[in-house]
Amino acid sequence: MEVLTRDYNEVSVLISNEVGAGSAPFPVILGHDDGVGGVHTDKIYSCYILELGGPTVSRDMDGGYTIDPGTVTGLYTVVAYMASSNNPYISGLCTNQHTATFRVFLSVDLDADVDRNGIVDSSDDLGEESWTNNRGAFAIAAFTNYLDGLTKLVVQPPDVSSFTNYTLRLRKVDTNTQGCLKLYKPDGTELVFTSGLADISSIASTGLTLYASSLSMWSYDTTLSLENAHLLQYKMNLELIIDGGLVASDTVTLCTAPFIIPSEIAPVEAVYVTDRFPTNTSIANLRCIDNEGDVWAQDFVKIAPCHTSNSITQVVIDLLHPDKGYFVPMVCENDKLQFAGWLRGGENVANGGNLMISPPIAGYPYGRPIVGDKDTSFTNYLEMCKIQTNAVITETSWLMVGHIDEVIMFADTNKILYADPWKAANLLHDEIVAGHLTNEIWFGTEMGESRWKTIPEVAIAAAVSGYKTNTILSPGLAANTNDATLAFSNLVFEIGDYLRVDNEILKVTATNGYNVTMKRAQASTIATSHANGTITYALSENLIENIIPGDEKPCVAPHIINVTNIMAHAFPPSSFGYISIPVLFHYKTSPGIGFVAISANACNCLVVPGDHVYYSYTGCTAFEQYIGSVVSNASPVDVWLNYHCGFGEVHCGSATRRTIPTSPAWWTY
Amino acid sequence: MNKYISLAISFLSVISITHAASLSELLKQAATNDGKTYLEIRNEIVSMGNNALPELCRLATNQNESWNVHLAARICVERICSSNRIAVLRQKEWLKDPEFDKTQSIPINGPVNVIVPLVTKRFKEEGLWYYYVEMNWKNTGEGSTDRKLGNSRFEVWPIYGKIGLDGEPEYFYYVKSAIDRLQLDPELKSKENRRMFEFLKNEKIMDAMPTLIKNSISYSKSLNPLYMQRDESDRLRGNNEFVESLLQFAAPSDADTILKHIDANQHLGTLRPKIEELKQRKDLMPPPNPRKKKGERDPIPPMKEPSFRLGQKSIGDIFPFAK
Repeated sequence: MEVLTRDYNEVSVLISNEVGAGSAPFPVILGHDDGVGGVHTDKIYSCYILELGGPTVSRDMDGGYTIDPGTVTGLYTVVAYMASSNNPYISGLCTNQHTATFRVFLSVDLDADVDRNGIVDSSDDLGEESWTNNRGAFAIAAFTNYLDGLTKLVVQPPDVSSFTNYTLRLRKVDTNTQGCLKLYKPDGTELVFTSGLADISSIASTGLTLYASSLSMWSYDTTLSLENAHLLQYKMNLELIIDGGLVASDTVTLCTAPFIIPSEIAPVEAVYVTDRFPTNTSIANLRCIDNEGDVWAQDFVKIAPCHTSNSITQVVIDLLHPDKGYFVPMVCENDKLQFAGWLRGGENVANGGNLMISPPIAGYPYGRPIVGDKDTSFTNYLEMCKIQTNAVITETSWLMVGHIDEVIMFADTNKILYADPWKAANLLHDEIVAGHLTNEIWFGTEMGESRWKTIPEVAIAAAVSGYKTNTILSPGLAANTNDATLAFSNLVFEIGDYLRVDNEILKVTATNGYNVTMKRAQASTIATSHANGTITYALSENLIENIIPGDEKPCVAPHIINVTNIMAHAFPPSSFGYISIPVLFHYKTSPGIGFVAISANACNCLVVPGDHVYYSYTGCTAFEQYIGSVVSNASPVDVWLNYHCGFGEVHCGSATRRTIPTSPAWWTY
Repeated sequence: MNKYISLAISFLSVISITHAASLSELLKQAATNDGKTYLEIRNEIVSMGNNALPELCRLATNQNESWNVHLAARICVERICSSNRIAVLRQKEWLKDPEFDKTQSIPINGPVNVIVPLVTKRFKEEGLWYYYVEMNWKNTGEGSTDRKLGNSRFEVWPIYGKIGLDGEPEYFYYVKSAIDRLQLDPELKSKENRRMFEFLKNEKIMDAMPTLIKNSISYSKSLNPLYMQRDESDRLRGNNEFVESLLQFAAPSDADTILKHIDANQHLGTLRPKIEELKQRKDLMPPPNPRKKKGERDPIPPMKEPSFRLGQKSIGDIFPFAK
């Protein structure tokens, strides 16, 4: 509470020396001498009596006070809070009256939860006018007028009953506050400010609770360096005007609470999807929204908890996707969630899948962000929040869509899934060697084309008739890196083919009839011995673009290695298990440029702790068995037509509301 | 940059434009500048309006001027005559096109892929050939404003332009401008330029052979990022095969250029016999490839600069003075 004072006549009074201990209590009357013999106490607001140099001994004299000399001795200053200083009067049994201090001294009180204990009360007065990491109230960035979770501002009722010509008003002190802070009344209507002022005189006798929300999070001036950008702070003044003069005011400073993006493995409160999401899941709070727009929920919104005092408010952050349809308002309406925009000024982010938060790790109690380098615009804003900083920037610009969730996913506190074309190639190889040539895999990106392909169709280069496959003839191949020439029983292999023999890749450099000359140990494989009768086949064009770097075309494998190297630097393998997920990609050149998953991308999965890890069904028995063996509670769902053929998968099609712990509070970090 | 310095520079550039000796010189400046500077010069020419048309049309086909001056002149003529149509195309809301299939799903990167058939049709109908070339030649930033296309629109708009040019005589200028850009970016640092490099290679543009050869080392290095390799020399893995694949559509006249490149790059030595074969080949066009893969294109022979037209009409039929 901050009080403006105006000092008038200086009077001090020695109250009790002449009375002495043991005398009867005596009253002290404070009032106005009307000059014609009358003394009026009704103009006294309140007063208290102070022992000089000592503590307050009483409050609220309200026109008079009885001093008990048995307990009160010494020199006192009587301080009267008065509406007017005209003709102050003090009387009593004091026999040695001197001067007393009379102050016109009316207080007004605007409170917010400055001490962050969840309650707005008198304990919030201390330090309310400024904001520090240790003390100060919060505002939530939200555009809606749902009052739950918004910051309470309480106007205590001042006693202005003695006055008629007064105004009680709120002032938005600065331009940020005027531009971005909204105040709602308990009925949800907005308190209207004109030129930064709102008259609330009518509530003066009862007090008022208002609810504050911020239209923005950051004081972001693009001319400032990132270090100088900060969370927006707001200053509100409560002012009492009497007879045209400002007699009292009280200031409260609020700071916008930052969004805290939950990690991908945080407990789930609800999952928001469109009506294209599979229905055969056991997700407890699956909110299906008939959107009439696109299906990419992950890119429409991030649902971020804002931690203020002892409560968490979930805020739906609109990522301004051009085809979000009604998704964002429907999510808010469905669960009465607050709604905010990620950026100020309507900039388009729409890449929610390109921001991922790790589980909490040392130095990052709220998790560390991971962002793909195709669009790093999230990182600036996270840095400004100063909570989830120092984002790991990984390489995703090689992907057509370019989102981090196409290649990385956290599946547990210590498990990272990564898309791995080599794992896919190896599983397909095992199937070929095992003779499972009629087994199928879902493969493709076009909705109008059949998804069912046999494993040879996907993995083995086509020959004029059938596939380029054969077996190693006697005496086999020795384990050395010298070029090798082998005779085969047919003429299928050609210059430029990459042959797979066991786990080694060889490149055909020359042919002479049935004799084929090959370079050993290609694509970082190791030259090993290969026995007579070992199955050999030429890699399909798709496998070449996935695992053979440095050929004529771009290749996936180096990029995956780069991504996992960067991840391993930030999330060391000593603490995290890296689990390869079989995914094949395909390079598209027109009109979008870059790789897209051509097999179902099971890495792009939805982790619901305590339930399942939902991933895109691959249509391949070998892939399914493998995924089931390395991912706990893995549950496949068919999203081929609805998501995969649109270059997304399960994670892309879902937005999840997750909880964060209230401890440690972010402001203590 | 200090804003006053910036202002001064822009003032000076206005002065230099204003006092430029001739339209021909302005066109040369336009042809050799990029981005904002290019736009300032182009807009200065376009602002001259109809009065400049006779001279621009003359320069657009003047045999004493180079292809890039012809192109700059044609871009300006088309702008003067069709600026409104260009603006309409840029502002077009594609998902509201009556032929857009509203039942189809929109991919995660926006509808940029699914509207290709529609784009092809509309771009051909509009026939704004020189706008299509310009968006690929200069970094004008004058793309679609349709936010419904998503963030990918910035990336795909020039590709739409290229699609509009496919099969048209003005494709000549697309190739020329791609080569022009690649010569300015021999390291292929720009992703856009790498895409153009891949187009020229995949479409087997014989005119582009010297540039493809020159940039082939950079391209192979881009496929072998440094983080993958033990040392710099490893980054040339596959370059031999890549250059060999280029030889499939080389012309005999390219032999000396390629040989020079081979001499400068020891790892390509094994290709020397193939250059001898190329030198001795009598036909301009390479022989049919017996191992041609499905969907693989035939080489595109050297192209001739097209006559000047706007849309489907010859410029002479539009302006009598251009006959």
